[in-house]
This record gives sequence, C-alpha cells and structure tokens, in this order.
Amino acid sequence: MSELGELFTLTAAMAILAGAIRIATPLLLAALGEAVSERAGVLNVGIEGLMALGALSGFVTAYWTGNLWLGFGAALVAGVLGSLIFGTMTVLWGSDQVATGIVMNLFCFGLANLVYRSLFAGARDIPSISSMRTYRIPVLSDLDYVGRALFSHTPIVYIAFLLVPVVWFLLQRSVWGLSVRAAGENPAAADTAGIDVWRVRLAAVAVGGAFAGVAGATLSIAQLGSYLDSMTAGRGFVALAVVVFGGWNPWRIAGASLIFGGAEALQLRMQATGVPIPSAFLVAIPYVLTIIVITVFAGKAAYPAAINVPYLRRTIHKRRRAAARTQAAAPPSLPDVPGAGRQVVSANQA
Amino acid sequence: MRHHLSLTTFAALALFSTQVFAAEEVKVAYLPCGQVNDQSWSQAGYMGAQAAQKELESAGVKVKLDYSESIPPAQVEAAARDYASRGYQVVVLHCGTFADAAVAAAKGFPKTKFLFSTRPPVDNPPANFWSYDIAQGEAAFVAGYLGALVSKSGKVGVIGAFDFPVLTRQVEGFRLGARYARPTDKSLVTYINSWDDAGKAKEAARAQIDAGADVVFTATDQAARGVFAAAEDAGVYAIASYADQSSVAPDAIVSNVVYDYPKLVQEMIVKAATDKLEVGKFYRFGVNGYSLLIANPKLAKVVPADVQAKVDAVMEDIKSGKLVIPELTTSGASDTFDLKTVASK
Repeated sequence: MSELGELFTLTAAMAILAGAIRIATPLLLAALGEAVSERAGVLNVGIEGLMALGALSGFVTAYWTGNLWLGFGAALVAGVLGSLIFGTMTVLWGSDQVATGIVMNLFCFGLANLVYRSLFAGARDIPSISSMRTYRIPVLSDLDYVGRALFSHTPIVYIAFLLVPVVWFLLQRSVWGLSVRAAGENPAAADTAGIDVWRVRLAAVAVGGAFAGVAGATLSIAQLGSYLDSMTAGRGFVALAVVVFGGWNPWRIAGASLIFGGAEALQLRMQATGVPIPSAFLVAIPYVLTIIVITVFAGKAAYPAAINVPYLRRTIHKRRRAAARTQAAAPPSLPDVPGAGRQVVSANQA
Repeated sequence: MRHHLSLTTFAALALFSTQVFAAEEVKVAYLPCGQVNDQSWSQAGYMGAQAAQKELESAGVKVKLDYSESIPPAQVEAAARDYASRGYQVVVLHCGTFADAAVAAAKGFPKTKFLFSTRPPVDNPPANFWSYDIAQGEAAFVAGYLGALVSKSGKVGVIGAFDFPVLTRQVEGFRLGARYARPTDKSLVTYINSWDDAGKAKEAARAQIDAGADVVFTATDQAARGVFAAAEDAGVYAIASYADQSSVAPDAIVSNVVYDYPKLVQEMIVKAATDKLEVGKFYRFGVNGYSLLIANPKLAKVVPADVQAKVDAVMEDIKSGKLVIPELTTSGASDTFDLKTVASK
C-alpha cells in the first residue's frame, strides 16, 4: 500500500516524532506535578480544571503585558492558588479527594469561562497573541533528521523535558522528597518522625497546581495564541492516566507521555496520508492504548499507600478505636497503623 | 364562601377568555444544541428567531420568544412537550441530535408546529412537523474547487470535527469539489473527534501540511483556530466555515464558507406563525441564497482572476441546476463518486 509506505519514510517518522513531543509536552508537565502530589498521598483529579485556569491566566497576562514568560508565571501562580483551595479542603479538612477534585474541575471551568467572558465582553473577534516562537537549538538542530524532530521546538518543550530529572531528583534524592514520600506512604509514621504532614502535603499539592497551571498555559500561549473554552479537552485526565502508567516515576512518566503523544501523532498522520482505516478507529488509538497499558500495568502499579487517606489526628484516633472494635469482633486482624494500606480505607468505608 | 368561589370562577373564566382573545400573540420556543451566544450554530438559529420576532411584530403580530439552552438530547422531548403544553404554537428544535425527540413530541401535540433543523429523521413525519436544511455540500463543493485551483502542490486537506452525516457532507462536498478541479489529485481528510480541541486540530493540520497539503479546509467549531494557527505557521492557506473569520487569521484564510441559518430559521418561524408551511414539505436550500463564499479581501491576490472566474461559473452552474451536487454522507464517498454525474445537462 502506497499510503503505508508513505508513513514509513524517515522524514515521516521524524515528523511523527516531532508531533509526539509537542503533544506530550502539556501532558508531561501536568503529570509530573500530579506525581509529586500523589506521592504525598493527595490524588488531585482537579488538574484538568487547574489547567484551564492556567490557560486563561497565562493568556490574559501575556495578552496584556505582551510578555509570554510573564504569562507562564501568572499561570503558575493561578495553578498554585487553585490547588491550595483543593489542598485546604482535602488536606486540612479531610474531604474526599476524588469528590473534591471533581468539584474543583467544575469550579475552575466555570471560573475561567466567567472571567474570560467578563474581561473580553463585547469583543467581536476572539482576542489573540502571536504564540511562542520555535527556538532551534544551535548545532543540534542542524543534525540530519533528528535535528528538526528533537531540537526545533518552543522553549517550553525543552523546559518540560528538563524538568524530568529535576522532579526525579526532588522526589528520590532530596530530603523534601523523602518527607513527601513518607507523607504518602505512612503519614502517621512521618508525623512520629517529626515531619509536618499537613505542610508537606500542601506543598506537594501546590507543586502539582503550579505544573498544571503551566501545562494549561502551554496550550494557550505556546500552541495556540488564544484562550478557548474547554481547550484543555481532557488532557488533565489523560495526564492522570499517564501518572499511573508511569508508576509515579518522572522518567517513566516522560516515556508514557511520549507514547501517548506518539500514538496521537501517528494516528493523525495515518488519517492525513489516507490509510484506508475508518477514522473512528484511528482517533481512538491513543485512548485505547492508554486503557490497555493501564489495565496491564495498573495491576502492578503500587499506589502511594496513603493516597486519598486524609491525615487528621482526631480521625486517626477514632479509626484506631474502630479498628480495635472490629478486631475484637472478628479475629482476622486489620493493620492498626492508620493510613498504612488500602485495607484501612475499605474497612472505614464498610 | 360561596361568593368567594364564584369570584374565583369568574376570574378563571376571565383569564381563559383573555387567552382566547389574545390568539394574536404567537409563542415561539427555541431549543438549540448549545448556548444562544456560542458565536456559532446555536446563536445563528437564535438570531433567526429574533429576526422572525421583529418581522412578525412589525406586521402587527405579538411574539413571545423563549429559549432553553444546552439541553441533553435525552431530555429534549420533555422540554419540547412542556412548551407545547403551555400553549407555545411554534417549537423550534435547532439541533441535529434532537431528531427523535422532535418527532415524538410532534406526535403528542398535533396542534403545535414543530420545526427541526437538518434532514427529516423519518420517512413520513407527522403533519405538524417540518424539517429545514441547507444543502451544505454545495458551498463546500465550491470551496473545494477554489482550494484545489489555488493550491500549488495539488494537495488540499480537510479537518473535520466528527464523521457523522451532517458534517461529513461538508467534508466530502469539499473533497468532491477539489476532485472536480483536479481529478488526479487525492485530497486529505482528518477527523479530530472534537468540536473545540484546537491543539489537536493544529497537530492534525500540521500532519496534513507535512504530507503536502497547502490549502486546508476546516469544518469544526472552535478547533478551527488550531487549523488557522498551523496554516499561519507554515505559510499555507486555510478555508474557514460557518462565519466570516478572515480577521482571525488575515494572512491564512483565503475564503469562508457561510451557511445562512439565521435567514432560514427566520423564514421558517414566520411561515409557521402565519400558517404558510406546506404539509409534508422538506424546506431545503443551497447556494441559491442560503450559502455563499466570503473571500478575504486581504488575500485577494492569492486567487487569480481566471481562477475566480472559474469559481464564479461553477457557483452559477449550481444555482441554475446545470451542476447537481450530491449529498455525500459517508466518509470517502467523494473518492469514488462518478464525476460525470455532477454535470446534469
């Protein structure tokens, strides 16, 4: 088939690779931040909404100041502020993380659309800025084939990928990372060791928010040059899947984002070259791939043990008493260390 | 007590009689897919409804126009029935996915007139049900013809939102027009499965441009912005749909395909209110006053005079019936359609 032949030329492969990197960038940013938050035991399903906030505040700031980097800064701040609302509710008040995250999504979308409408009410055309320019890295971008694919992108793309080792170091090698992981695995033990679990969790949530905000601004500032309602289009949810697929490890998260981006770039290219497969199948490829990968890997995926387990001392004492009662009633023992595993959650829910 | 009761009865009677006498007031309900200020499909219909209200009121008919926005298809029948039971004489269901609900509600309220956008959903609709539609394939065909003649590479592409009949007919209309201009060149097509994912639309357009396309037609909603951005980045051309968007990307948009839904909805409501709709008629129009191409004056130099003359000629031939544009509702149909059957005479 000539259409398939067209796909497997080196030029086409490099174009697909470049597309994969562009598509992966906002996913990678959102997923890196979410990994930090989840490692601290806070599952933030509200990142889709935070991305929308970031997309809006980033665009508006860039539009007013004419400076794209200020836009990214504003998006970062908006993401942090939005995530702190979420953090206050889940970390400090102990509300359910999933339910709160869903509400945050609705809240953020409503807020972003409201603010956008009130700022640009009556504008005939959709306001726009010229989006971020491609920066070709000297020498490297002149390499044959891979030069264009890897080293000819907007600066935010390079930043996103450079943040992978940074986040990895932060989580795996720094003292703060150790306390984050402790707060996510066994908050009671962390508390005993003198770690302020609330503060660590709030900080991790804020880091997640900052990344989500910048991820959103990547869409509005670097890719499009304008803000549109629902321009995040589910990328926050894909990022949640990417975190699981990547096993909360920044390197693997980068790989997972690239696989999703690659599948998307490949299917768009396949459609464009007229591969005789119905578009409905091709469009579904990245999502089907994500589902398959997650069902294969998620079984083995070790969620941070204390994810979605609020750490409230008062509740913990209550739980410990409840566990003791259950233990007295039914001999099969439950772990009496609060927050140490999913059994505690289910025992609590039952 | 008795006195009080009769007073109530009297009041009720009085109320009833005023309703009878106020038959001059026409109550119109408008139910679109989305919001009446969406700058797109739902707003176009609402503009038509408002224009109808104005037209009728200037003719001395009082009109009460109400709308319900963004109702999920599963709940539209209940909403339509609610309006009908509250005495609305005309219920406009301006959304392709409301088909079943529209027919079901029409059967329940034979005295209320139901107007439904796009093609008749059933073979024998009730007598109080009318479909109105714009043959979008016609203007899209002309756009494809124009795009292929403007293209230097010979490759044109289409970015569509979803592969479903009402949208596919625009995509395939464009592709058939392109093939009519250049029978040996195959056009590209990508569906992004979204109305508003501009990021994805941009990548899709980029993939087409990488594959050689230098004119890209878009049949999406907000996602079109991504197509324009990709065209601007690559220095190629785009053709927009649904509104004159030249000012959005003045250096990329060559032309805009516009379907005049406000005019059509206005006429339908006025006809319904004045009892002038023919039972069983499918109100369907095309480039004959209901769709057109609006060129971007800034890119006029891109379209040479001889090309423009050819495009105008094709437009006239469709209007006169010399060219008959088929309604192609399955993806890829334009690739195999016999070009000879386009020219009827």
